[in-house]
Amino acid sequence: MFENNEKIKSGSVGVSANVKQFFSGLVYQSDNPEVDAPFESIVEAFRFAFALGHSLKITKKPTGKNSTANIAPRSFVVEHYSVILEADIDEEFNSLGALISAYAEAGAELMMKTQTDGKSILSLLD
Amino acid sequence: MRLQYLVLHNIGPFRGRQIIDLNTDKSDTGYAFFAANGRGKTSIYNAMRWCLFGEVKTRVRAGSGSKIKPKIRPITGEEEDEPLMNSSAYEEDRIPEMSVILMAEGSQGKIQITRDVKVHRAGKRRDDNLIESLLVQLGDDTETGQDAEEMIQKFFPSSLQQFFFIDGEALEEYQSMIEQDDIQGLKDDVEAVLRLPSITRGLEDLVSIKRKIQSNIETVNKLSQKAVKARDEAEQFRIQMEVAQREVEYARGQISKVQEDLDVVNAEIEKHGEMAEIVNQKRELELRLEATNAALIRSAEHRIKMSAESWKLLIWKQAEPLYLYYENQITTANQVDWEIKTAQSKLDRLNEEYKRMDGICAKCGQKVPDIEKHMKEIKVEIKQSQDKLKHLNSGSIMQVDELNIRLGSLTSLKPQRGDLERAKAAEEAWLIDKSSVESLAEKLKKINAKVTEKATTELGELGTKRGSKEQLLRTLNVKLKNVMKDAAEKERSFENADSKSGLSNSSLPSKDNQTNSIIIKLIKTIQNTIESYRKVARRDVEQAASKVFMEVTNATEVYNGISLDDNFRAKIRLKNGKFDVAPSSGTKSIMTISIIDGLRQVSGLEAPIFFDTPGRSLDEKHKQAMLEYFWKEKGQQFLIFAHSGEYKVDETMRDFGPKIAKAWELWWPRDYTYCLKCKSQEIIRHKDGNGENIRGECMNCNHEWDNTLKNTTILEVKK
Repeated sequence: MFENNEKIKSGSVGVSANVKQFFSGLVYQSDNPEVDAPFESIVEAFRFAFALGHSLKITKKPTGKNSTANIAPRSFVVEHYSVILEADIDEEFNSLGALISAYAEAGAELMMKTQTDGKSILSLLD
Repeated sequence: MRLQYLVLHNIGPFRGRQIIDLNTDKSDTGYAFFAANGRGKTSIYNAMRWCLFGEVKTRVRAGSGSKIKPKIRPITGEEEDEPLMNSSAYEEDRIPEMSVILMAEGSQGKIQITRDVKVHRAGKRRDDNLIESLLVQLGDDTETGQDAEEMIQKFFPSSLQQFFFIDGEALEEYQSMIEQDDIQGLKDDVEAVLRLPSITRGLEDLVSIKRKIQSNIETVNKLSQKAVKARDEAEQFRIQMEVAQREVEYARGQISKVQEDLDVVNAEIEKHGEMAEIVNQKRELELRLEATNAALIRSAEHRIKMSAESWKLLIWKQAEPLYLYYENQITTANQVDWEIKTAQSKLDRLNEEYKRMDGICAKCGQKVPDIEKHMKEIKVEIKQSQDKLKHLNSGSIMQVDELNIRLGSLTSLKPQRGDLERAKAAEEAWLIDKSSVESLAEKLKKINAKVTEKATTELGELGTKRGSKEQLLRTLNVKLKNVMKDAAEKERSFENADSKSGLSNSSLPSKDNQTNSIIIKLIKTIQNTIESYRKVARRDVEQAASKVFMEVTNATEVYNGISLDDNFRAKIRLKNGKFDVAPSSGTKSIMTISIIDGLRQVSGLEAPIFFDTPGRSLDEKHKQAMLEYFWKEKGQQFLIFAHSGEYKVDETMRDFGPKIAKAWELWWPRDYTYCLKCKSQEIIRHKDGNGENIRGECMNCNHEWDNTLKNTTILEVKK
């Protein structure tokens, strides 16, 4: 819990380059309907990954080269999630953007593993 | 026909049963009923009419040269309606009944007619509630009801009754009718004598049929005009139908040719044997794969739509407890807010009380015994309220507004009911389609491995050719179907118009025209026949009436007979060939009686003649002459119903005794001249204080009777 008068920083969201590439592959292409690509855009894939990481309370800092490949800020407004995230803000993830990115990075890792295991992305809803 | 018995029961003044026996051992034709007014002469006359024809009409009246239609007299009713039934029977009897039995001997054997009517008391006393019955026995035949009525008509047609039931009181009216111009009445009578009414009705029927046929002809002519129009239309439709049929034939030819080409291609494909089969399978698989792939695209796109909000399902796992927490906090905050307001209100009241203390307690309104102590107590309460307020405002609970904002923010993350199920269903459908596509792709891959490139190419070309031909065949079949439909419609239109055109100048109007022509001829023939009969009848009636007239008149030296002109206008012919322009009333009456008798003779019907009040308009000489003529030694019975003033009983019996078969007097009790019981003439009439004859008494046998009664007794006059 935080004090009323304490202002949380927004920050920006981003994932590592390989995760962003993974997200690109999850965007549906009509000429490849058999591919497990259940999202209309990268932002939707990012949102799913963030929600997955948040639900499991798993975080991971984006690592490697181009570790902060941006997610379009206009399509993903971090303040919309401030209420559920304010309790998790700490010194390591001291802005909403940083915390969301960490959840998304961890979530994406789990999504990759799921596909590698031969399961579909949406099976993670179970 | 000779009348033998007449039995009257409760008709007119006759209470109970009265039997009139007309049988004698003589063949004389004279019969007479003598009576004063009201004794029932006309009732006997009417009783026979009612017995024969089931109704009695009021006397004929003439006005402006035409008959006024007489009214039918009711069986029962008010006195002014002249009911037929005896009034005492009607008033006193439990089941009033009236009947007349007429027995006669005719050429066909014995005749007995029994007509009876009973009053049904359940309802109102009207003719509607009467139960009438009729029984007729003629020879060995017996009939009842309508059959009996028809039987009577055969031996005594009601249309002839005026020549057998002659009403002396109506003679003047009848007479004035036959003297005037353009009288329908006598024409009707002549036609009745000739038994022409049925032929006339037949003629009317024919005219009616002719009218209908002419109407038919007009209708058919109209239809014929329509038919001509329909024939033109039919011709147009026929041309259109033929064009459409040619199109059908052309389409069939095209189909046949394409089918031949297709057969050639199929034969070529057949030559490739097993390979052709494989190529076929390949083609089929490719088609199936194409269709399944399309289904996969649809399910994949649906999956995206259904999973667009799926992230909320995940995030809500953590957000839901927080949402519930804030909901709970809002409830608590609302409670704290109320407590703050209450505490502040209390503090304000205490401060006011402390500031305004004047020795009276603000709570109970009593005088405070110790002001200083009371002020101290208020101060303590103020301190307590301030502490409570400080605690409540300490900020440990979030403001309600802030809590509402947070709840609103969390609500936007809340998934919809059924989101998970929809996402899973879409996922499953996509997985099935994906599996199908993969399976088909695998099969196709295996088949592709078997098919050589050359065979694929050749069969591909043939397949393309076949596909093209099949497509063309389908197109042509659709075209054929359309042109056939069009041709069928044109054919129906043609047949419809053709059937209408078939009514033009067909045999129907031709037959109608023939029938119409025949009927016109038939009508003309019947009209000529009637006219011819009428002429002959006029001559016969003229001759018969003249003979009667010359026998009855007392001026045979002046008169030559009666003349009936073409319009049946009667005049008395003089010996000098001229006509009597101013005959006496007696002569006129004799003329009328003569014409009536002439008509009766021409009718050929042999039946008794009933003459009511026969001498009414005749002078003494003519009265005598008339009886002299009608009362004969043999022939038809001639019954007169005479008023005592017309024909005196004694004189008539004296003058015509030998010609009278039987005669009767009709008496009320007051008319008795002798005791009916012992036949003694020593009777006394007792009067009351007003001089009214109220009682009769026989001095011989002491038999007494009521002279106020008006019940008639029929007594035969002894010669």
